[in-house]
Amino acid sequence: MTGNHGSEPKKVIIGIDGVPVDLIRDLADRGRMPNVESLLSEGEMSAMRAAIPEISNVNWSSIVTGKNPGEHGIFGFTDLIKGTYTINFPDRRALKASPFWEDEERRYVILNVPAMYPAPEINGIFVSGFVSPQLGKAVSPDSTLNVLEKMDYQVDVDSEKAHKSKRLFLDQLFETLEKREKAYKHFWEEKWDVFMLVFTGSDRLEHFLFDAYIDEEHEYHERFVEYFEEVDRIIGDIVDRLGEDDELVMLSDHGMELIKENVNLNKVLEDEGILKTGNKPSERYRNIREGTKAFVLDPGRVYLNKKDKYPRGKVGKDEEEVFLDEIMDVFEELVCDGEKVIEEVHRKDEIYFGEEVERAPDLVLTPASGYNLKGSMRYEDVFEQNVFKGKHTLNDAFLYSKNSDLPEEPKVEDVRNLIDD
Amino acid sequence: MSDGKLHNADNTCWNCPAAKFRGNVDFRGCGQSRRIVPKGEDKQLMIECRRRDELGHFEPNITFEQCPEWEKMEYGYMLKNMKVMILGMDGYLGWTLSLWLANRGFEVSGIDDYTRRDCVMEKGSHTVVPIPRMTKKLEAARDELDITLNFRKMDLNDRKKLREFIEEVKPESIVHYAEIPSPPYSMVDAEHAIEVQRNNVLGTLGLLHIMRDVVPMTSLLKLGTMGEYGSPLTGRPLFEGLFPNDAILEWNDREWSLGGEMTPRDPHSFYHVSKVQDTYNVYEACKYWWLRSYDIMQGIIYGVHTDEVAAHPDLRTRLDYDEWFGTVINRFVTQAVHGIPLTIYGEGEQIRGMIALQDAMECMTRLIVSPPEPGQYDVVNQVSGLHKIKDVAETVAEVGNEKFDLDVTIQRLENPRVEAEKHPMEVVSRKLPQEHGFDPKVSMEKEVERMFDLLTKEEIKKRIKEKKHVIMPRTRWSGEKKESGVLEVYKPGEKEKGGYEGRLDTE
Repeated sequence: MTGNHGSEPKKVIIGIDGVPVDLIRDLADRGRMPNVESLLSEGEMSAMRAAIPEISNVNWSSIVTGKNPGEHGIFGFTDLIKGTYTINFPDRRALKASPFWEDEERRYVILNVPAMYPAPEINGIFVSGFVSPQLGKAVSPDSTLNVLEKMDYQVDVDSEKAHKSKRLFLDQLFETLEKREKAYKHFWEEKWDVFMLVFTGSDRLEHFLFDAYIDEEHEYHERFVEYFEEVDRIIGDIVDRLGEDDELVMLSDHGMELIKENVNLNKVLEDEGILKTGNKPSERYRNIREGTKAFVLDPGRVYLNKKDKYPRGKVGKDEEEVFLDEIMDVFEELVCDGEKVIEEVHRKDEIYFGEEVERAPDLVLTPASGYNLKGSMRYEDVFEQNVFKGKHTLNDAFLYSKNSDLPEEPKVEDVRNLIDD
Repeated sequence: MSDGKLHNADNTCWNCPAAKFRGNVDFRGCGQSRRIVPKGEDKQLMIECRRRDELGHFEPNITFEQCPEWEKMEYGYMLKNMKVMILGMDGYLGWTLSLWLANRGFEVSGIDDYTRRDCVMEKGSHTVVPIPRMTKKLEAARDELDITLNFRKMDLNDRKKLREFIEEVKPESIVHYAEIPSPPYSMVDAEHAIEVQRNNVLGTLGLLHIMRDVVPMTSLLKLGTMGEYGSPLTGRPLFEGLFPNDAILEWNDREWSLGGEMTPRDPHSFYHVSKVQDTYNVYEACKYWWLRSYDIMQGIIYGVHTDEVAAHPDLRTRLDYDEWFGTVINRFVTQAVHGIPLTIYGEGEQIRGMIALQDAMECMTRLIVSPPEPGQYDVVNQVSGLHKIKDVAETVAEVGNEKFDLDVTIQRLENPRVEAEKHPMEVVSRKLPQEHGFDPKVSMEKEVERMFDLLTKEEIKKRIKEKKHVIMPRTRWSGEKKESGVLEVYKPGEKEKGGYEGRLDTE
């Protein structure tokens, strides 16, 4: 182990956002991720099940707290502000469970964990991952800001660029990775017991160019793989710095696959008369009108429009069951070219437990392979294509440990045990 | 508002100066962007609230009606203790608005470097309604109205100081009255023309840069003037700054929509030119930097009354009657009290938009509580009526003669200005009444009567007499320095009505 560290074994956790276990294996087998390849021969890797819905902030919250969403309270990228149809973006401030770094016995460097903005004060150094609108609030202690500004650090690639030009997006992605590497090297020299680094560019890359991974003839196939080669090179660099007894855990928060169709679930509800909207789609959920029984938030979270909960709420307590059954039927019967679109409809108490369940969506849908569920209020048809090529998957995140045994059929909540051990 | 809602009930965080825009969340790409894309399909603009930190990041669409930080008041929902900075606080409008707002719960700050006092003194004149020095006015505001105004003596063009003050206060609305507001003053000579344009144009340009850097969410209420438009002889309506969507340009058998484009400006003094230049600077700043502004094309203001300025002699706002800074009705009433025939320039058929002081204050309040959207440059024509100068003189004379037992006559002078003396005039003023709930409350007769009440007090009559030499116009647009000759003197009621009639389009 290099750097300024004591003699106790250290723990390093490397996250690679949105990477399916097959992709890691494939690139390792092809010799494009040689460092990962040799790690695989030394340790154990398994597919890992993500929390539902398979969204980054839900899953990173589960990974660092070891809790299910019913306990940590993060159910998606978005929520509605109490008593309104206004969306908010729950971040660390909304997290109801304790992340491992609250244990002050150990000293930490935590770099780029998503959904952990603003940065908490911890025993060590913290740099939040996306979504982090202001770098100044994404770092702790304050003195860290100066260091990051000097290296022109950026939390995330500006996704707006990807909408304009894939080439520009890729350039930025590599640049962001380079800065991340600089930052990790700088903070490595600090005193710490646990070092956690998450690569998030992988998820962006896959969203916009998963087709380039699948198709070897694709204009950007090589660039796609080169990105993972870079990640692999950095992983190799980290491994070289580890001592014999130091522990290494690697993981992703969810998997990824090609999008076959995007599915506008609110359009489905509207067609069935369950959702009523005004004529201003730009108003988003404020466009919900009287008579609405339910609506969907991204990706497949169904909320009953309850009387006591929303401004134009319709559903009374005694009607909830009837409407839930009706909505479950609608989604279970949804087909595209004869193929079932929704694999499973979950009632909230089937998949969540804990004090926050009350706030959970009433139903959560998990899609059949290739169907990208959307809760957008701006839609034309139920099924549509857009710029995105990759979508998250539930059952094929990965978990790797160099030193410890993995639980059987691991799920994201289990990672915490590996960190705490 | 027809459904009983207050005019700004449905405005949202998008309009609110407490919102801090933080860029976009890209749902499908799990990403973020610093760019502001308000209507992106799968991208959601997010904000934080300066006042409600507990909400974290959210989309900007909580309505004023829903938000506990916005409270109902007489002129719409108002942001609790909303911080308004008034540039030009010592002036005729600045002082009146400061007291008006502070008395209604706004947190008012402001600057002034007493340019107006200096300019009037330069002319050898003084305000006919006596006003004490600023420190005493502030004391009186505290003692009589129990309000505190955060005032700093400061030049608008001292950008370093102004920036520091804006950084300290973080105003949620800035009302910009800190310009030299006189056409004749700008026409005296090169020095005066340059000084007016320097103070006004550069001052505003500097302010826009400070706002970009320090308070980009703050709305700017910039005082323009109806004089920016001129008085087109074709009778083309004076729209509110920008052409409406159904305005068509037809030429050579082809047609184009003019919707959204700036309407032509036809200033008629170097002062008016400075206002037009401001208009373009503000327009550009909104475009480049997402600033937001109302450019307020105010008609000629007149009057002495609001409850606040009338509450104590030390709270009065100034009233000028010299040829440079006296506005037409204010000058007429003063002339009537002093016994000089009311001075009409040329034919007196000029038609102008006008508004009483108290109504103007109400308009400003309604606009302050309804900030435009980010990047929105909006224009309102702030007038409550259109009047021919000749008719205004008749009204002043009638009120003076009938209610104050005066013997008021009217004189036509050689026109010192270069302007159309007879012209049609149609003014569109729909936004204030339709979008902001404004309904004028003060008739010209009523305000003129209040003015006579005040100006016929002995001490004020004495003050008028002391500086009577400033009444007759000597500043000619031609550059000649010569008092205007008298063309005709007549008694009210002697002239037949005729010519063009103004048309105010509010619906």
